[in-house]
Amino acid sequence: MKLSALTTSHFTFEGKKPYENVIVLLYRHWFVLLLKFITYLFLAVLPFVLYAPISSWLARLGLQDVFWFLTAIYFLLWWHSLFYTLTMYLLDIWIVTDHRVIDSEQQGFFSRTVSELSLSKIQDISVAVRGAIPTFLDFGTLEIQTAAAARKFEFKQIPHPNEVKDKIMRAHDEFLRTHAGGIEVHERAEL
Amino acid sequence: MDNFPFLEILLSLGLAVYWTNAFFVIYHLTRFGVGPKPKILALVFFAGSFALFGVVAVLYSRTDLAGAFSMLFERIISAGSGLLPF
Repeated sequence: MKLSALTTSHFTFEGKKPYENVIVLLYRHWFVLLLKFITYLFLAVLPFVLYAPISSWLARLGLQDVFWFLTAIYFLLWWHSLFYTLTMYLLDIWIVTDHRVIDSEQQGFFSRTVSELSLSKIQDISVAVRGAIPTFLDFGTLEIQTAAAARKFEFKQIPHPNEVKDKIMRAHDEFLRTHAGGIEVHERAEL
Repeated sequence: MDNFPFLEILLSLGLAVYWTNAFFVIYHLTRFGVGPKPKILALVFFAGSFALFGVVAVLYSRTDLAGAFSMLFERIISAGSGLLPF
């Protein structure tokens, strides 16, 4: 097993087959993160806003040092919370390779769901863009219907969903063309 | 019992939770992150955590927390609500 932190490839992930090429790596649209960033920005200025009206009171009691110490602890928590949000954003990914589609969702620390689907199993793909902002910024949800019909693959709030749909369809057609009879040519060559 | 270091124990526990949480963030980003972006972010996070921890340590060494809190409690008891800033 390769340690992905030590590899130079931009798109190396656990379980990637040596003959597999990544076509697209998708995160949610940046707008989803922007709303959270605005909240964090507000929380970052909050102690300074609070300090202005109580500074004379703090000075009178000699508690300024305590205030700044508590503010520093507050920023430790803020920093961790910010990066927790970024971590969850970066680990919620969808990968389309020339062999399969991988849906990796992180629900929290040590809670992770990874599903994959062979390109040959794709039946149809639909795109849903709902709302004014998603329409202006071109992001939405892409759904892949499998032959099994049991479960849909959902790419949530991804940027340019129609372009991604076209790329997946092209990859699907190419996969069917190169894998006649569903036989994996690379694995057959290794035997 | 008066000399029991409650504050120090509390801060040590906070410190342990802080670095454990930092480890979890770095572990998830480097182990499960795809591409260079999560690894760069893990590095930024570690550097920031370390710097902020340094700031807190310096401020802690300059602050007489126990003295400040006991002074505040004494004043609250003696002055009542007149001590509040608003």
